[in-house]
Amino acid sequence: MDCKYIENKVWLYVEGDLDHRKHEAASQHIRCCQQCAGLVEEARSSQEWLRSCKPGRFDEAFMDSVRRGARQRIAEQKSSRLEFAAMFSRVNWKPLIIACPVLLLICWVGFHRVIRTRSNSPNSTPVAVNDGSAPKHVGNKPDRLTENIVLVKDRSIKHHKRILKRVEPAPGVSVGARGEILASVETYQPPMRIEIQTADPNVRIIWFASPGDGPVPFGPEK
Amino acid sequence: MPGELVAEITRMIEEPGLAATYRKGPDCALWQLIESAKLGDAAAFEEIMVRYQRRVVNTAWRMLGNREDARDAAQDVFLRVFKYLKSYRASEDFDGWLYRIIVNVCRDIARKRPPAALASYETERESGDLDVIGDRGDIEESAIQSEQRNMIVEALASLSTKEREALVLRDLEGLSTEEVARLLGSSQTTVRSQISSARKKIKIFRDRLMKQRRG
Repeated sequence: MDCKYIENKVWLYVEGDLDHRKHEAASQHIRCCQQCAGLVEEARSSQEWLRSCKPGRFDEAFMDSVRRGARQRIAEQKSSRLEFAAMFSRVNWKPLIIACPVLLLICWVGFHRVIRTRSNSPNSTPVAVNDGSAPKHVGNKPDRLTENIVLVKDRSIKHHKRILKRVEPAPGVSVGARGEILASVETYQPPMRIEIQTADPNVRIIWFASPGDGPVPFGPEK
Repeated sequence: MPGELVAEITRMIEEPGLAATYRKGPDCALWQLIESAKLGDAAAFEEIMVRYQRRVVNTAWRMLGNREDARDAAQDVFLRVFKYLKSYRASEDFDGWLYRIIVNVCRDIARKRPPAALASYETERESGDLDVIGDRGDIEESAIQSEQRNMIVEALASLSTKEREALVLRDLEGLSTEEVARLLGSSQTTVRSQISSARKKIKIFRDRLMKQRRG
């Protein structure tokens, strides 16, 4: 405990804001140090001066005015609440109740129109054919086979930007009216190889669709 | 009715503070007043106002340093007490709850009129309001008291809002550091630092005023 410490903590010491151990140590130092004792005396005197500040004598009239004002404010608040309630009750709610569903309907129709417009916009997914030609965009109404591939893409690989590659049906394999691949025993050809290149160059999905005996459904699920 | 009584006893068991409130003699009357006021008893609320008006006005005056602001603050405090009395729980310390409202109201008023604390002293002196506040019996004594009060108000006005709040609550209202910290939502260390700095500033202000007087 030194004089510097007392100088810093004198304002806490005089009001007993130091913990017991520190207070005792400070008291011990102050008893031995004239300079610190002087500091403490000055601090005590200043605190006494501050405490001598008695609030002005607020007479009964003043207190009455306080209570009257408070009562008035409370009454005003109550009346404003009542006014709001009265205004609320004055509003003719019938047209609003009728208008709400109409507005909701308009919003719903608008929302659907926006969604439809977006879904009809040109598809940005490029579809490449393995004949070496450049990727081409699928139009608004893709043919059945393209639709199948898009369907497979959507179900099997998610969260990736994909580039699709498709192998043209082998000779002897025809495409049915609903987009299914048709093949017969006579015109048996090796299975059709379909490749999907994902956004990750290291991942490529390849599978073989075997036409087999008779028509093999490879189109939309029934 | 028996159901309500059981619920009340259960609440007392669950909340130890509430049981303590019931046990205390003087607080029991206050609790009854509060409960009546909650149910809309205007006379009970009036009684609460009469009980606490002086404390509210004095604290507000010390915080704001202005008679008119103190009146305004006291009215606002009672309005808030009325408004939020339903949310007051008997387990809470009513004095602490009230002090929190006073501090908040004074902060709002000080924020609306930042230079009021200092300017008000001049206004009051010019308008002679302080003479009314002072002791009319002895004019000389009243003048000395009034002058001293002005000096202290000026000294308090020289502090920052946080320092003033901490100092008023700790040194002038006589709350403990822990209570002040809880009321102001600060740590005890912060409050100690604030009051230490505020006391130091008050002393410097006082020394300067004394020097000016002598000069």
